Amino acid sequence: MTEPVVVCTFGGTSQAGQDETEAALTLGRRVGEARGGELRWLVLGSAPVELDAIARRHAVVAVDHAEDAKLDTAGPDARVEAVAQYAAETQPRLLIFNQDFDSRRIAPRIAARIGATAVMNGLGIDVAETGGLHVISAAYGGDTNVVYAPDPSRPCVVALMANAVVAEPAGGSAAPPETRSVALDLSAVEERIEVLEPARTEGPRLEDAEIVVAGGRGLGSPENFKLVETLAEALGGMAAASRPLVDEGWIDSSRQVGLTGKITRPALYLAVGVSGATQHMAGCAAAKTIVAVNTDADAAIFRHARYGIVGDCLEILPELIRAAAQMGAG
Amino acid sequence: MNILVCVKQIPDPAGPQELNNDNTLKREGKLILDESDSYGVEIALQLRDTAGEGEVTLISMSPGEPSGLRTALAMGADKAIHVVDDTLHGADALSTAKVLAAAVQRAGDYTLVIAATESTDGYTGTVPAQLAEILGLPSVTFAKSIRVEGGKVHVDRQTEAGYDVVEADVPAVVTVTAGVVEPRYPSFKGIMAAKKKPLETLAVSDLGLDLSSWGQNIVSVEDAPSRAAGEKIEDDGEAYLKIVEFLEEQKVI
Ligand SMILES: Cc1cc2nc3c(=O)[nH]c(=O)nc-3n(C[C@H](O)[C@H](O)[C@H](O)COP(=O)(O)OP(=O)(O)OC[C@H]3O[C@@H](n4cnc5c(N)ncnc54)[C@H](O)[C@@H]3O)c2cc1C
Ligand SMILES: Cc1cc2nc3c(=O)[nH]c(=O)nc-3n(C[C@H](O)[C@H](O)[C@H](O)COP(=O)(O)OP(=O)(O)OC[C@H]3O[C@@H](n4cnc5c(N)ncnc54)[C@H](O)[C@@H]3O)c2cc1C
Repeated sequence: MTEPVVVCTFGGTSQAGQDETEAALTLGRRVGEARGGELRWLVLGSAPVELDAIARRHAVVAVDHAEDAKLDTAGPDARVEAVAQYAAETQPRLLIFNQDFDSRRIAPRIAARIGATAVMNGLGIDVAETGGLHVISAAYGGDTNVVYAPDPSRPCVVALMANAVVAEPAGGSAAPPETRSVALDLSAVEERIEVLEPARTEGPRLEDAEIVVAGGRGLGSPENFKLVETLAEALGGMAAASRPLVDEGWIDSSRQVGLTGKITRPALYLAVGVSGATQHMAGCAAAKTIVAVNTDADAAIFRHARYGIVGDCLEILPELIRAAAQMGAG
Repeated sequence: MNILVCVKQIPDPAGPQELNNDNTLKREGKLILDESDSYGVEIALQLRDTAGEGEVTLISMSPGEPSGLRTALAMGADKAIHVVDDTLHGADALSTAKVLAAAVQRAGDYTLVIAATESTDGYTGTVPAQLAEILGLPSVTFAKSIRVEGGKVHVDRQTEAGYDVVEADVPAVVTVTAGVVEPRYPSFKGIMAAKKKPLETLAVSDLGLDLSSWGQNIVSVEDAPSRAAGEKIEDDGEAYLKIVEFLEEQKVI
């Protein structure tokens, strides 16, 4: 086992979660091919249903399964300890996580524990001619791309942003992966953070929506925000919002788009009364098409929009709702 | 209740960002308090004032003048520790966390260390969790609100699904998400008072650290590619039809 490339996943077997896992495996495989280094998949806690099929699809050489009751809850301390023990044994060159709230909590700590470099907000990894890694990541709220060359003498931890890499199967027929159960001792771990009331997850996820209608402060009032919800429903999509609206309590935080909210990738993102701040765009820049309505012709959102309408959303939304209802009915 | 707040001083992100030959950010000009950190400062001041006792101490590592620290002192923080050392040029996140940890250990008794979820410039969101790891403290992340009671810190913590209510023993490192409170503006009195507040300037050697190499070099820094702007039309009362047409084309309706 020379300097393996390890993709580490935990929890979540939703479709979106699986897509992201496959994106990370795709990236890991490419790096492994480019610089030599087998692709291993470290699974913490319960395994995804399609583990085997996914592993084969991405030519994973070995699945390392770490099972322990302490890993089945979302406790960060057990996960940090587990990966640190695993890394001591396996000596990975590169450890890739999918970036989400959970991994943002643990990846930097794991890096500190094992003396690795850490690159968050990862967008991709190239292998330089020298064999060194070039890790591409977003800075300045997504305005800037920075390429880091991590110290080759240490492991490197990368958190890969959702939608940054498109999953692609290895092609050909890979041998089934070797499957191994990782020996861990987590007896000393006691989670130091107690969750008194967990957030409720229910209903469809914004990340999976094909159509998103997002409202911003330009709507003016919570009553007007109902127009956004009505249109989203009429289009068979989901309503979302910029952060100020979530802060004001007009809508639940699970519907916030942006850097500190959800990263969406819909076919259509219709933004009304949203200025297009970089922190907001971080959550919708990957949309296939952005359509914007804003009274300010200079609003930043128009720089991203395929169609931009300079106009009052309070006039345009009712028209759209009417049109959608008519079409739907007809 | 004594609270330490890690604050970054950064070149004004609204201005042009100039790079050195090694692609690090030029930090020679006037530095300002990172807006991301103004929320943590505000929360710390509120916690101190609610407790009715204790001090808010700022900790920062950056080159140059403590101009950003003065802003936070003017807001009401009590004192500051500023680590300034040319040898820190280009420091990576883990090295930064080591420096801040050493400074924290000099700062006396404390209940909380507060930092921002991510800074505005580097934006890696790694330093606070690494700081917690080095100090061996619980790392509570993405806080919207913080309360300290009976030796525990209670936090509303943002997650994928909404907000968890969590608690941990103190001392703990808590990161605050930007925008969760309205940071106060320094008053004139505050600005005058800030000039007399204790500000300790330290070098790496004062912290007993030996940091000689960084975990990574910056190869390049570029604007993220933005998509080509599309069509922009003024609403003449009928512009919505353009969207309807597009929705039809896409078979959305
Ligand atoms: C660290 C950090 C993280 C952040 N994370 C996020 C995040 O995750 N998500 C997020 O959204 N924000 C985030 N923000 C906040 C972000 O910077 C912006 O402040 C926010 O996105 C602005 O929201 P907005 O577009 O709704 O409001 P505004 O910027 O106030 O824009 C309102 C827009 O509505 C237009 N308007 C007004 N009236 C009308 C009308 N009648 N019809 C049509 N248009 C109209 C105006 O011209 C304006 O462009 C973050 C900020 C920081 C510092
Ligand atoms: C475009 C770009 C340019 C860069 N240029 C430089 C450079 O010129 N010099 C350089 O040293 N590094 C530079 N870096 C690297 C990066 O800023 C450092 O690695 C830093 O140590 C990691 O910090 P961060 O800003 O990502 O912190 P984050 O982890 O995002 O910071 C979160 C919070 O931790 C606390 N914190 C972080 N750093 C400090 C600090 N120094 N003092 C007090 N509190 C802190 C603050 O509360 C901060 O809000 C650059 C990165 C980028 C993307």
